[in-house]
Amino acid sequence: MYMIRIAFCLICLNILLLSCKKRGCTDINAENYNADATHNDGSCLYDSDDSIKINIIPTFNDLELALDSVYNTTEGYKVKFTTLSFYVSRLAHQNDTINSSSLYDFRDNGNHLLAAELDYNSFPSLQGLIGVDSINNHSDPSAFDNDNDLNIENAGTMHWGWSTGYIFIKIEGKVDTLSNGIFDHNFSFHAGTDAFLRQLSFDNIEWVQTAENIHTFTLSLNMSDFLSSDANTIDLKDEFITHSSSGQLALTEKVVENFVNALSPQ
Amino acid sequence: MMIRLFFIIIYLSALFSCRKEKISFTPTPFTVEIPSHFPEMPIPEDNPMTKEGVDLGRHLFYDTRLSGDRTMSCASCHQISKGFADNLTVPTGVEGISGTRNSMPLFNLGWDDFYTWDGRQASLEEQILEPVPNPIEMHLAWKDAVDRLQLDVTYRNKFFRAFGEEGIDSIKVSKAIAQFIRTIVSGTSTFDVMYKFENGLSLSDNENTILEGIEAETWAGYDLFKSLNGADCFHCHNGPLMRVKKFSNNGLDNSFNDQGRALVTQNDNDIGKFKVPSLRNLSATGPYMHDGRFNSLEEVIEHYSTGIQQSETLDPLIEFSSQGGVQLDELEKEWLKTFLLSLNDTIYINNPKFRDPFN
Repeated sequence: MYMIRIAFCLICLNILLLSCKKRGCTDINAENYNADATHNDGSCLYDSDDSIKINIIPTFNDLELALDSVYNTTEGYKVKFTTLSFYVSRLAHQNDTINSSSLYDFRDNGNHLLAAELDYNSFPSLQGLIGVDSINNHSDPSAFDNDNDLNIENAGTMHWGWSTGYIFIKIEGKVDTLSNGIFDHNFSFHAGTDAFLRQLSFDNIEWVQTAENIHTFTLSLNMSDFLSSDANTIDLKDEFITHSSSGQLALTEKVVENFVNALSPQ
Repeated sequence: MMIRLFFIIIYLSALFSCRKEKISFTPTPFTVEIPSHFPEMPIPEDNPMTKEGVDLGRHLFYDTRLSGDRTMSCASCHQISKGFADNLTVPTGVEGISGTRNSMPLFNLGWDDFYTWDGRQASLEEQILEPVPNPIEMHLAWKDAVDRLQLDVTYRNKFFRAFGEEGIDSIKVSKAIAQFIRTIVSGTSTFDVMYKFENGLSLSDNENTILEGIEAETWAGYDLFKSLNGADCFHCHNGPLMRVKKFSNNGLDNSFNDQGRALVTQNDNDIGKFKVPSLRNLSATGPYMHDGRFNSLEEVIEHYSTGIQQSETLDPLIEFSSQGGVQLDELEKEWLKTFLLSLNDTIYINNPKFRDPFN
């Protein structure tokens, strides 16, 4: 009689367990992923060493851009870029923030914008700023930590002064407008000041696993689009310099709008 | 009995008088005095600042035993009264051979990322290793330099106090001198008062007194300095350190005997580019430019006003290059010079902590 009772209990328990939904971590990227789980109970744990990278790949249409190399614009000019730098600030998804401000410098750092020890799952979309928010823009540039890209020693030529703040976007180069092989003038686009701070937004981000614990989001920056936007073409023959001063607002506006539009997920 | 006691006393006295002094390694952390408007100075992890290290470095900096014929020290080309430069177009070494580039002044180097006019050294410690064996500078093999220092018990003790181990080598010499050079900070000029006032930083009573005495011409020169349509200097000479960390072709020539940065990078795009220097202490540090071609500030200002030479690598930030420069009139040149002189820092020049410890 005792054995029958035991057998009955075991059978009941089995039926009970098998009939339940299997709860656990259903995310294959989590450390405690449970292949048997059918219902995610919020218990997923992620490797604390997980990190993310954000890269920028400048292009000129289909070609990867190289500084000091010559490209043809739609106007038939020959152009070469010598400087390509900009600030990206406050990248975040809702309340999860990736950075304060990061300086992208193509000559010094290649495609690298930033790296952070964060879990990519927390960032299915990103919002941020091209430029530097108003408070930081007018703070003491010496007071930032040494590893902060806003520190005057890291900002270097990207800082005008306390009242004007940082250069948000700096694009410099040379142009041959006569197609005679001589680069007849320089162009310098230095866009900044609070009025030209712009929003960035990328939805449905595809993070690509590029190493065991590293996921990377890559943006393309098409410099041909920057120069030749449908509504906002920058003609380097006549439009070759802005420091965002009061007499240069129209060109600065073009520079900023075209730049933001030239950035897109790869 | 008295005689025996007398001999015991004599013996003990002799014993203690001959006892070798015990040198201990108890390094004292050294904090560099950094002006409030300056960024934090990065200190390399493998060469922390100590009082013992700074003191040793100061002695080595002024020691002529580090040159082949014992006539030159670091201070021969880097004289404190000349902003740690030498007022020569180019320096001459112990063999009587002239160098090719102007001696660079020494101040605020703790913030730099590259050294010498072409930036070939990435740290102070690396840079300091270079002049001693260089045949056109101090021309003494490091092995011989170290042997000379080893003979001096005072140095042996100082090295032990600074590094906590027996023995001297070139790495320890360079580390000690680097520590001393990191203490050489210049941030107490009239310009510093202007910078702090302009940006709303608090001023001391003394700085307020200086502020009240600043002439209108100096402020006018500062405005010109920063103006895009004026002298437009601030693109390359910016921030409290009055420089940016970059290499630039500033339009001195249209062809180049000295390839500058390109000698290091082997990149044609760097031909004719040199390290952008700070504009502090200009009264003491002439002649100017990498080859010391300009003897006066007037010549320098004239260069940027009308003398810019076009070339492939000319810095695009020199925006009025097509017309030869920024075209300042005579009054503007005067104002600009007046402002540039406000960057002289007499407290730095006269700092006794930077002087020759042997004299």
